[in-house]
Formats: sequence, C-alpha cells, structure tokens
Amino acid sequence: MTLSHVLMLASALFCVGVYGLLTRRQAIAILLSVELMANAANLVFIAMSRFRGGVTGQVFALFSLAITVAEVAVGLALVILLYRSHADTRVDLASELKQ
Amino acid sequence: MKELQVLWLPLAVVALAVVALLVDLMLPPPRAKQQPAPIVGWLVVFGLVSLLVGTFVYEPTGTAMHGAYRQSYFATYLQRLFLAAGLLGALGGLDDVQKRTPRRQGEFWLMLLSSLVGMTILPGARDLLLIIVAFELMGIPLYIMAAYSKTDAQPTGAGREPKGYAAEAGFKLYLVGATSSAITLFGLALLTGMQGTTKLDLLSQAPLTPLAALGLVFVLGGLGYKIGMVPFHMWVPDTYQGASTPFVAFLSVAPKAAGMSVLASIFLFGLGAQKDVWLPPLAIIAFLSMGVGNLLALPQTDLRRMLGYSGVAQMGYVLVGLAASDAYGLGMVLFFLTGYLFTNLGAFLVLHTTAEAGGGYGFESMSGLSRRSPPLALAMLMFLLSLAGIPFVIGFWAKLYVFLAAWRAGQVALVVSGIVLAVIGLFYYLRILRAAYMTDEGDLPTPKPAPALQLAIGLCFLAVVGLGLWPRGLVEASTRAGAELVAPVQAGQGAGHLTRR
Amino acid sequence: MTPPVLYALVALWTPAIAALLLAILYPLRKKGQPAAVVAILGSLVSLGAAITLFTDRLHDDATHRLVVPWIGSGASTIAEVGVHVDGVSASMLVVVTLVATCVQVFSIGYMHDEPPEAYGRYFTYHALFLFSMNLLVVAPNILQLFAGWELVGVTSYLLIGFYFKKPSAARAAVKAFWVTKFADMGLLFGLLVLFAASGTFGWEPTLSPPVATAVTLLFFLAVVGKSAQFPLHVWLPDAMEGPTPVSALLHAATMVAAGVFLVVRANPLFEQAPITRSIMLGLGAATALFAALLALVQTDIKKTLAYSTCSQLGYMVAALGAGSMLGGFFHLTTHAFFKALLFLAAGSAIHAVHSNEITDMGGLAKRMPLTATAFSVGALALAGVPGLSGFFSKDLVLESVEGKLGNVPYAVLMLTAFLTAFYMGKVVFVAFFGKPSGEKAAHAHESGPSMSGPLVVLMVPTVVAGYFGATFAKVQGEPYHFAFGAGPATASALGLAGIGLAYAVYGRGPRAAVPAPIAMIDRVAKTRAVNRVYEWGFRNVTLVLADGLAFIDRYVVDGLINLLGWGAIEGGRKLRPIQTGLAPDYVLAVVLGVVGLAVWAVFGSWR
Repeated sequence: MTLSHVLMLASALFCVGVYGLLTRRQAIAILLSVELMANAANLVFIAMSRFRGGVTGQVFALFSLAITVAEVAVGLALVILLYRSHADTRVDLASELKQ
Repeated sequence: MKELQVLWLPLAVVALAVVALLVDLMLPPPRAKQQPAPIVGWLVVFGLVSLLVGTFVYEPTGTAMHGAYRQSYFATYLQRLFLAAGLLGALGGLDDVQKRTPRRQGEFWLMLLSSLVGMTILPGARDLLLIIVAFELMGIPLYIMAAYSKTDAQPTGAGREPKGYAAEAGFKLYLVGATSSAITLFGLALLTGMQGTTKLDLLSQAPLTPLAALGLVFVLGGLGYKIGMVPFHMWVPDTYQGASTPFVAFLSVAPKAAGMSVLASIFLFGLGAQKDVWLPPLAIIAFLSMGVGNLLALPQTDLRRMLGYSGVAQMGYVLVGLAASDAYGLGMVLFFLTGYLFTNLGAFLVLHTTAEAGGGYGFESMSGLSRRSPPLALAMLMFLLSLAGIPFVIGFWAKLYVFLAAWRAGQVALVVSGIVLAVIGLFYYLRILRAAYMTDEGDLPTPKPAPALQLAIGLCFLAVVGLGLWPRGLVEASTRAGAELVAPVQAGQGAGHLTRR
Repeated sequence: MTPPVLYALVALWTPAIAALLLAILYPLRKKGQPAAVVAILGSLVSLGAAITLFTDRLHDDATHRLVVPWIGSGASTIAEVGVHVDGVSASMLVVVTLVATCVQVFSIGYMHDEPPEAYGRYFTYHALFLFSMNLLVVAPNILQLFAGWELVGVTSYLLIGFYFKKPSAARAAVKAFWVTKFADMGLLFGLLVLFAASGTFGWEPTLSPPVATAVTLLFFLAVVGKSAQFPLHVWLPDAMEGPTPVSALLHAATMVAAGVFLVVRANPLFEQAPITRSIMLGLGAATALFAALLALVQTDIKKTLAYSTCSQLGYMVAALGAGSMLGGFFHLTTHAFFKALLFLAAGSAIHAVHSNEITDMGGLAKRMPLTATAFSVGALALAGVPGLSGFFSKDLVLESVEGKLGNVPYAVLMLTAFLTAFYMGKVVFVAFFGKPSGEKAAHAHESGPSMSGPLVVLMVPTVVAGYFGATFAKVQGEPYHFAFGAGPATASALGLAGIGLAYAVYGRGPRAAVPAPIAMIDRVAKTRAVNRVYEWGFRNVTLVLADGLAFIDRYVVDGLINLLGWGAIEGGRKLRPIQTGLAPDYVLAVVLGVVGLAVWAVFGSWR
C-alpha cells in the first residue's frame, strides 16, 4: 500500500460525496454527502501523516473532525427549520428566493 | 505571558462573549407581552467600543504559539476594521433584533461575538491549522444568524412577502459553506501533506508538486465563497434577501474582508513565490466577478439582491488589487475594504430604514426619499456615489488606487475591463438615486429610524464623506499595513525564493 | 502658526462660517433681519482681523505662510492650499473687508423693502462673496487664487441676478457669467502651462521668455474679462441690474479689481514678459479712453459709474503694463474707496427718487446734503482734483506710463482724465444741483443712518488715503516718490478744466441742447457695435458649432453608451435564470468552479 493508493481511495470517496451532493433531493442525504467529502479529506490527512512522516496530518484530522461536527450540527438545525415550514426536507422546496 | 499580550484582542472578545452570555442568562425572564430591553445588545456595543479604543491605546506586536500567530500592524488594522463592522452592525441591528426576536436576543449577540473572535484571529494567523479553525469559527455563527428570524414575517411593501425566508437564506448559505469547507479541507490535506508543513512561512520552501498545486487551487476555490467571488457567489442574493437586513449589512462587509485577509495571507505571504500558479485563476475570477456582479445587478428589483450582486462586483475590484500581488497592491486592497465597509454597511442600513417605514425592499421604498427624509436621502446619495466610484467620496479613491496598483504591476487587461464593467455599475446605482430624488409617489410615510440606527448610519456617512475628502491618513495606514504582511517575504526569510523571478 | 497667519485665517474664515450658517439654517435666513446680523458680524470680525494684520505689517516685512497639501500625497504633493501673508495680501484684505462691511451696513437700509426671505438670501450671498474674495486674496499659489476667482464669479452671478424674476436681470447675470467664464479659460490654460513648465502653481518660477509670455498672456485674457477691459467690457454695464450696493462692492471695488490683483500678485511672472506688458499698456489706455467716451453719453447714473469703473481699471492695467506694480495697486486701492462711495451715494439718491436716471433727479443737494457731499467728494477724487486720494494715485499711474510706447498712452490717459472730470461734473451738476426735475426729486429726503453712516466712513479714506502713499508703498516693499511736477500739474489742470466745462454746459439748469460731439458719440454708442459683434459671433459660430457637437454627443457618444447599456441589460437578463433558487445548483456551481481550477492546476501552462 502506498500513498497513491490511499489518495485514490480518498478521491473516490470525495467524488462519491460530490455526486451525492448534486443529485440527492433530501436535505439529510445532502448533509451526509458533505460529511463524506470531509471524511475523504481526513483520510488524506492521515495518509500524509502515515506515509510522509510527522504528526501534523493526524492533528489536523482531529481538528477537521471537530470543525465538521460543529458544522453538521448547525446544518441539522437548519434542516429542522426547513422541515417545520414545509413538512418535508426536499431541497427543491426551499427555492422561493431566486433570480 | 507575552503570548497573552499578543493575543489580547481575540481573548478580550471571548471574554466579552462570556460576559454577554452570563448577563443574558441572569436577566429575569420577560413578562408576557413585554418587549425585553436590549441590554445585552447595548453591552455588546459598549464592549466593542472599548475594545476598538483599546486597539489604539495598546498595540503589542510579536508572535505567539510558536509562531502560529503573529500580531503586526497588518493584523491590528484588520482587527480594527472587524470591530468597527461589528460595532456598526450591532448598532444597526439593536432595534431590529429586539423587535423581531425579542426573547432570543442574547444568543444573537453571542453568535455575533463568536464570529468576531474568529475574525480577529484570522489576520494574525500564520499557520494553516489556526487559519481554518478561525475561519470556521467565523463562519458557523453566520449560518445561525442568517436564519435567526426563522420563518417570521419580513417587512412588507405592497402587501407582498407575508412569509419569512430566513430559514431558506440560512440554509443556502450553509450548504455552500459546508461544501466549501469540505473542499478546503481536502485541499489543505493535499497542500500541507505534500509541502510537509502547516506554517505559512515555510510553505514555499519546496517547489510545488502537482498534487500540492491541486491542493492549492482547492483551497482557493473553497475560500472563495466567503468573499462572494464567482462562481461561488450564488448564495449571496438569496441570503441577502432572506436574512434580516442589519445582519446582512454586517455580512456584506466583515466576512468578506476577513476572507480577503486570508487569501492575502495564504497566497501573497505564504505562497508568494508560486504566483504563476494562483495568479491567472485569480485574475479570471476577478474578471468574472466584476462581470457577473454588474450584469446580474441590473435586472434586479429587490434592492437587497441588487446590493448583493453589487458586492460581488466590488469584490471583483478588490481581487484586481490582489492581482497586483505586491505590497502596494495589498495596501490599496485594505484601503478599499475599509471604504467599502462603511459604504455598504451604510447603504444596507438606509435600505433597512426605508423598508421598515412601509416601503418594502423594491425601488418604491426609495420613492420621494429626498422629501420624506433629506438626511437619509443625502446619506444614501453618498453611499451610492461611493459604490459607483464618483469623486469625492471614498469609493472613488478606493477604486482609483486599486486599479492604479494593478496597472503598475502590469495587469493592464484586467484594469481596462474593470473600468468598463464598473461603468455598468452606474446604471443601477443611479436608478436608486433617481427613485429617491426624482420620483415621488407621495403616499409613503417618513422613515423614523431608532436612535442607534441613526447613529450607525451617521457614522458611516461621516466616514464615507470624511475619508473621501481627506484620504491621506487612511492611505498611509493601509500602505503600512500591507507592507507589514508582504515585506517579511521580501526581506528574505529563505522562504521559497529558490525558484523563479 | 504666527500671529499674522492667525489674523489672515480669521479674516478668511469668519465670513465662511457666517455663510455656512446662513446657508444651512434655513429658518435663520427666512426671517431676514438675523441674516443681516450674522453676515455683518462676520464682516466686522474679518475687518478687525484685516486691520490688525495690516498694522502688524507696518513693522514686519517678512512673508508668512501656512499651507497644507491638497492634491497629491507624501513627497509628491501637487497642490497646496493655505494663506500667504505679505504686504500685498494684507493691504487688499483691508480694502476688501472695509468696503464689504460698509456695503453690507448700507444694504440694511437700501434693501429694507425686500421680503424677508429675499433679504436673508441677499446677505447669505454677501457672506459667501466675502469669503470667496478673501480666499483669492490670501492665496499662496495661483491655483487657490483660481478657486477664489471662480467662486467670486459665481457669487457675482447670484447677486447680479438677485431680482431673478426680472428678465433683464436674469439675462445680465448670465451674460456676465458667460463673458467672464470665457475669459477664465485664459487663467485655466495659463495655470496648466505654468504647471507643465515649472511643476508648481506659484508665481515664483523663472520661465523661458516664450513660456513666460504665453502664461502671462493667458492670464491677461482672464484679466480682460474679469476687469472688463475692451473688448470684454460688455457685461459690466448690464451688471448694473443688480442692487446698487452689489454694484458698489463687486463691480467697482473688489471683484473687478481681482483681475488687477492677479497681475499684482503674479508680478514676478509678468516681469519676465515685456511683450505682454506692452500689450497691457496699450489695451489699458485704449479701454480707459473708450469707456470714458461711452460714459459721456449715459443718462443712467449707475451706467455712468460702470463705464467709469471700466475706464479706471484701464488706468490700472496700463500702469501695470508700464511696469509699475505700485501704481496699479495704489490706484486700485483709492479707486475702491471712492468708487464704492460714489455708488453708495448714487444708491442713496436712487432710493430717494426711485429711478436711476439723472434726468429724474435734480437739486438733490438741497434736500439730501450728506448724499450730495459724499457724491461730490467722490467725484472730485475720481476727477483727480489735487488734495484727494485720486490725485495721488492717478499721478503715480501717469508717471509710470510717461515715456513708454512713444508717449501715446500717456497722452491718451491725460485726455481721459479730462473726459472723466467732465462726465462726473455732468452727473454732479444735473443730479444734485439746479432745479428738481420731477415730483420725486422735489420730495426727496435724506436716507437713514444705516445708509448715511457708510457714506461718511468711506469719505474718510477717499480724502486722506492719498497722503499715506508712502506708508502703502513701504508695506509693499516698493519705493515711493511723489513730486508735483509737470505731469501732475497738467493732469490737475485738465481735471479742473473738465469740471469747468461741465459747469458751463450743465451747470445752469436743464440742458437746452445736447452738445454736438456728445450727440455724435451717442449715435455711435447706440449702435451697440461691440455687442452686435458678439451676438453675431454667438449665433453663427458658437451655436452652429454647438449644434454639431450636440449631434455627435447624441448619436455617437450617447449611442456608444446606450449600446453598452443595452448590452449590459440584455446580458443581465440572459444570465438571470442561472440563479435557479435551488440550493444544489449553487453547489454545482461551486463544484464546477473547483473542477475548473483543478484542471488548471494539473494541466496548466505554468509548468
């Protein structure tokens, strides 16, 4: 296993996340996709630390986890807000502001 | 102990936030049907004033946390800017927060201060880890503040907009923000991993590998949304329309300045030697921002959206200044951001006032403003002239100097296209003025802004006009601040000048 | 900041504060009387400061300056503003503030019948004028002088057109503005050439002769306009449409003198351009004669005085052209006093008989002794009767002109002195002596104290200023010598002869017949030839040119802009639908953006 392998995996995960982000209609699914992308980044951090030395990557990964968690918490709160007004979490319902 | 001195401002903001939280918790619960006084709000205002004064009295310099944070004049300049923006935003929003969300006031201020903590750390941050943490610390409270009034009603014009869109506004801001965070993190992972360090000064030590370059552009793209540059700008008009206007006033200036300072830190300072990687995309983004911002502002009928697109274009002008990629350019960027801060804040606050007076957010709310409230109309006149870049308010000098800096650095095509596109701006700015001065439907009441709001608008007006008539002091300050960031690289700390130019 | 600078700043800014207060506080202006108080207070303080400054100058001849950078920054300051105190500016400041204060006090009574709002507006303009004029006088460089110059032009327009509801007044104001504006181009271009050649807007630099000639000629164009020299004199008689105190202040003593002041100020530059000076000498003398001839045939007292002003300005210009800065400046000073006195006294008479025509007056001496005395004293001074101030200053002028350009200007000015005495004598005898010619004249009565006071005040310098010639010269740093030789004697004789002739023709009651030479001049004057030339030029050259340019402006320039605008609007409209309102689409844009950047990073040409 080399760095390249892990990077390819991480990239694949990232792309899956992007795909989900763009195609899913439910807000929760979109949040999940974002999580996936963030975790792909974490994977890269760890891989860098593992294959190129130093603990920086691992430290960064921990911080990254914390940041992402905070962000998702807020995101879920916003989703609940949307749910309260539309009784559904389909993202295309939140599209009254446009142009 | 020295570290605490150097970090005094962010820590002081944290302390202010804690105090605000405690006061809010200890306040007696309001009786039914009674609007609680904005005590926490005023506390925040006075706290911010004290801190702002403090930055003039106490200006430590030095590093902390093993070089991860460096307080210099660059940092001080921007910190004062953020405090001023927070202060004006707070003054402008005091009344609105009290009226619209009376029982949740304290948390709003807590969110504002949290965001300010992140902002005040950013300009001094010299380590990518610290930068990203502070950046997110700035950003996440903004999502909450954007959606603060949830689905409560907004001021109506001719009976439209009975429903509130704050939730949708906040959600769109969040979605773009969260996506961008993930992208930024991914890019940082590649960049710091391949370069072997998170410290900005050491970032250029080794030449960039393709992977690191990829990481670099991911970071560039990920940070772009905060600034509102194209194509990461699409949340701007919706969020500006849906969130509460005084908050939007703050949102339209402070995070943008913070984002710019991060861009400057990472790219000008950290990756200065790798100019040929990030400069061309930056120039293209600048051009697109000026173009899209100005073009899409034209057909708008909601003034919040129009000012939102206008902000996109204005950030395009700032990016032109950054494209000069030298100390003078950065100085002029800081000068522009300062002028823009007062101008845009003021414009949004005036819009807020006329909308609350029953006009809604379309052109009709400005109709006959010169008769209804000559001071407000005059203030709006100055703000719009500044945005349009007409002498002799500060926006004129700002645009002039930014374009001058870019021209001197050789970015001729960008400057020329910028000037042409800036002319388009006149069309829609002047349309607002036409409504204010030359039409009069005659049936709208006189706007009566609250004293705090009047004070905020007045201060912005004084800054815009005063600095426009005598810009020298500010020019000197911002040039000095810009030199503080870029010069250390020039002085040659061995960082990455093994390579070209 | 030295005391002289402080005095100058006070003198400069008190009228400005008065003007600002009156401009902003509409209720203050609306009431009328308070506005007068504010304006006059400002003028009095300014006057006090000016006098203090002048007395200080008597024992301090160093130049004091205070300047701050205005345009440009750091080492590359292009222009500065501030105050420059020396003998020239100190003297002019006293003249301006004294006459202005007297005129404003006079206006209290004269403008009494105006509605309060107009009354307030009047005094606001006065305060603004005083500030503008002072700005010009204390200017440390010609750029600030230009700023004051233009401002003074604006206030002149506002004051000439004070009775803006009267079409003739409105037209007169516009005409004055156009003619002087045209001339001001000279000052502007002169400034540009000066800056291009020397990098400064000051009057110190040494220039090569061609450049010096160019700059001074351009400046002189502005002088011709502002000081109503031939052929740009046409606006001054029409400017009499304004209230008489305004004529006294602006169009006799101060504003029209600004042109002369410019030359005095820029003396170092004019010294380097002998060609310009010769032109000035010739034109000044010609104007003096020309205007005096036209004054002969006027029956309107104000128009007489207007042409007289024009003529006397010609004297000043000629003196300056002959190289005598002192001659021109001294005559400016004495002329300011006695011309203002004449105008105010005329105003007093006009107020009494409600008409400007001397044929409606007559015998006023008996009924308005003070006014008559004031007017007579002023007339005598203007005629150059020995003992009064005009005599001394006119002598300086004649002395300086003597021997230059084949003595032609000298002779011309002598002849003009004769004519001056004659037409002033005519006015005095017809208006103040003899029998009253109508109802109003028979029932005229002396004006109140607010109008009489300034008359008395102005009579003082009219009489004694001449004796202070040495002091005046010392303050300017110039040598002064006065000898009652052939020249002054001839001039005095001519003056007395003129008065005598006037008595002979007009002194014994109403004119039986108009003397033949005068009738001839009258016929020529009535053709309004110079005005006709301008009107023809305007109609057939300016308007045609303007029409052509308007076409280009409307279809080419506007067309281009409209095209840009149309393009922008269409572009905006087409781009709009991209903003779909769907959050995932926004994210798509972000992703596409990042993808684009990634493509650049991996395949970009920078490698």
